[in-house]
Amino acid sequence: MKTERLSAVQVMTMTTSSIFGIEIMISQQRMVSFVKQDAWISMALGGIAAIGIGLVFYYLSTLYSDKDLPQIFLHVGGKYIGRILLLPIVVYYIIYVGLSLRIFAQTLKMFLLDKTPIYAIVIFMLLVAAYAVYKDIYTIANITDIIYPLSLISLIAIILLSLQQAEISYIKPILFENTSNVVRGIIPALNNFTGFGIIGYIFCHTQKSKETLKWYLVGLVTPVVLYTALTAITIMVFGTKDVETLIYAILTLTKSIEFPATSLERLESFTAVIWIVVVFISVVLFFYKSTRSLTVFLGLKEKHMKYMVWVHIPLLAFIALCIENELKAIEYVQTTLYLQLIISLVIIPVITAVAILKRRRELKK
Amino acid sequence: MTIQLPVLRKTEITITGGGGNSGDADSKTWEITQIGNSFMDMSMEMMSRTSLSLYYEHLQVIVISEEVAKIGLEDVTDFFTREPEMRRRVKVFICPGQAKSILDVQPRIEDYSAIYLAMLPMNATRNSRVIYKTDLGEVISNIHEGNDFVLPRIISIKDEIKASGGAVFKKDKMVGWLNEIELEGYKFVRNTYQNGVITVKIPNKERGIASMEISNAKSKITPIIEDGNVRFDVEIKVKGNYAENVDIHTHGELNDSFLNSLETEFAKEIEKICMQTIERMQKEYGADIFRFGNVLRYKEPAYWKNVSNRWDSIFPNVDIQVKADVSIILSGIVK
Repeated sequence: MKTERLSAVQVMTMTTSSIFGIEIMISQQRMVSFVKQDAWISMALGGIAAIGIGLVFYYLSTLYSDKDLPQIFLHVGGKYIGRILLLPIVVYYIIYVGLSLRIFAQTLKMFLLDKTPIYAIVIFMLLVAAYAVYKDIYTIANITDIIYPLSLISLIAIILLSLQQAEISYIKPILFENTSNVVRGIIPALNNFTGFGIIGYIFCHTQKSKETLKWYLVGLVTPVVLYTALTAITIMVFGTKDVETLIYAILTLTKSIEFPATSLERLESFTAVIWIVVVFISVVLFFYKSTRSLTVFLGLKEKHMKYMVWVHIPLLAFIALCIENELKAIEYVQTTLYLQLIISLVIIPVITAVAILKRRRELKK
Repeated sequence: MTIQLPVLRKTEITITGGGGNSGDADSKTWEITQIGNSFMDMSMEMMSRTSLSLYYEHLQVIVISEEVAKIGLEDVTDFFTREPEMRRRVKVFICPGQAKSILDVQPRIEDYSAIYLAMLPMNATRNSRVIYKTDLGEVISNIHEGNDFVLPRIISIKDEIKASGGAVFKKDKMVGWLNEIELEGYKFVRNTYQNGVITVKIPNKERGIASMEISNAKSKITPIIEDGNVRFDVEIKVKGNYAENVDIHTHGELNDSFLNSLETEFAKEIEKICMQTIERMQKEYGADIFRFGNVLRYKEPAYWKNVSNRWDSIFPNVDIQVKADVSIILSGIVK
C-alpha cells in the first residue's frame, strides 16, 4: 500500500504549473485582436471564471476522494453514459498535448534551435515527458517542485523589466464602448486556464488536509494574476495594433527588454531555457491526465497504465507532426476551446450535480 | 544595403564578386554593400561573399538614408519585424545623404561606428538634444498605431558622428527635420525630457547669461473641449540647479528675488522653445509628433471618436498653450 501522499503545497505548484502552458506565448495576440486595449480585463474575468469552474472540479473530487476524475465519471455515470461523458475529455487532452508539443517545438525552433528539425524537438520532448508520466504522479510532483519557482521568477522578472518600456496610455481609455467585447472576451480568456482541471486527477493522491483547498486556490489565483499582468504589460509596451501582429508576443517582449550590459543582451535565451522546462511540466501534467483518462475509458487495470503511456507516443507525435504550418497549429488550439467549453460548462456541472445526488443516496444507505 | 561587420582579428581580407566594399587589411571593420530586391536576398548574397553567416541578434544599429525615409519605412521594415533573430531594441537613425557615409566614420573612442551609435542615445539622460527612445520597436509600434514620430538625425564629419536634431515622420514617411533646439521643445512637451541645460539672458542686467541644469521635467497635456472645439493646455514642471553665469558676477545677488526672476526667465524660454516647435509642426509639417491626438483619444474618447478621421486636418489649427513652472533647487557650492 502506498503511503506517499501529495502535500497541500504540491497541489498549488501542480495547479499553477499545469496552467502555465503554451497559451502564455500565444494568447496575447488573440485576446488583443478581439478585445483591444481592454484585453487584460477580459483575461482577469476569464481567470475568475476559471477559478469558479476549478472550484466545481475541486468539489466533485471531494465527493469521491479516493477516485480520480475518470473513475468518478464511470462511478457516477455508469459504464456506458460515464464513458460517453468521458470521451470528450479523452479526445480533448490527447489533441491538446499534441498541439502543445507542436507549438512548443515551432516556437523553440524559431527563437533558439533554428537548425533543429521540428520532429526532433517533438519526439525528444515526448520521450522525456512519457518517461516522467511512466514513473508516477509523485515523480511528476517532485519535478514540478523544482520547476515552479523558476517559472514564477522568470515571469515576474519579465513583467518588472518590461515596465521601463511601458506606456500606460496604450491601455486607455478603459472600458470605453467596449464592455460587450470585454464580456465576450471572457470565453477565449478561459481557454488560457485549462490546467485548472488537474485537481480532478491529483486530489485522490493528496493528504486531504484542510489546507488543500487554500493552496489549490493560490495555485489558481497565481496564473490569473500573472496572465493578466502579462497581457497588460504587452499592450503597454507594444500598443494594441502592434500586439495584433505578434504571434509570440511574450517572447518578443523578452527580446525587447534592454540592458546597458551587453553580457545580458540575449536575456531571452535564458527565458527560453526556463520556458522549455515550464512547458515541459505542463505537457507532462496534461499527458498524465490524458493517460489516466484513456486507461479508465478503456477499462484497463491500474497496473496497465504504463502501457498506455507508450501507446500515447505515436498518437501524440502524429498529431504534433501532421499539422501543415505554425498558423494552423495555433488555429487548432483556438478551435479546441469549444471542446473545452463543453467539458467545463456542460459535462462537469452535469456530472457534479448527479454525483451530489448519488453521494447523498449512498450516504443514506 | 550596407552592413558593417567587425573584424575581430585584423586578418587580411580579399574580397571578390559583385557589389562594393570598403575597409583595408588594418581596418577593424568591413563594410559590405549589396544591391538586391529584398533584405533576405541581400543577406543571402552577402553570405556568398564571406565565410561567416550574418547573425542579426548582434545587429546594433540601423541607419536609414533620408531618401529612403521619405519614401516610407513601412515597406522596408517587414524583414526587421518578421525575422526572429532581430531585436526590437536595435537603434534606428536617419541621416542626410548616403547612410553608408556614417558607417565609414572611424570614431575615436570606439572601434566600430555601429557600437558608437548604439551607445549614443544613452546620453539622452544627460543631454536634452539626444532622443532616448529611438529603437526599432518604437518605429514599428508607431507605424502600426499610425502615429507621427521623431527619429534621431545623425551627421558624419570626418572622424566624428554627431546626433543633430531629429527627422519628423508623418505616419511612416519622413517629412522634414527638427533642429536641436526644436528637439528640446519636442522632448519637453512629449514628457521625455530627462536632463539638459537651458541658458537665458539675466533679467534686469545689461549683460550676462545664466544657465540652469535641468534635473527633472514633467509635462501634462490637458485637452479642453469648448463649443465643440478642442484646445490643449500643456503644463511643464521643471526642476533644476543654477549651474553657471557668464560675463557677470552674481556672488552678492544670489537671493530669493534674483532666483525668482531667473525662474521666470527660464520658464519663458522653455515656453518659447515649446511653442516654436509646436507651431512649426502644426504649420509646416502638420505632424502631431507630440501625440496630442493620443491624449485626446484616452482622455476624451467620445470626442475623439468623432474627430479621429479628421485629426490630420484639425491638428494644424488647434489652439495649444504652454505654461512652464520652473524651480531652482540647488545653486552650486558657491554663493
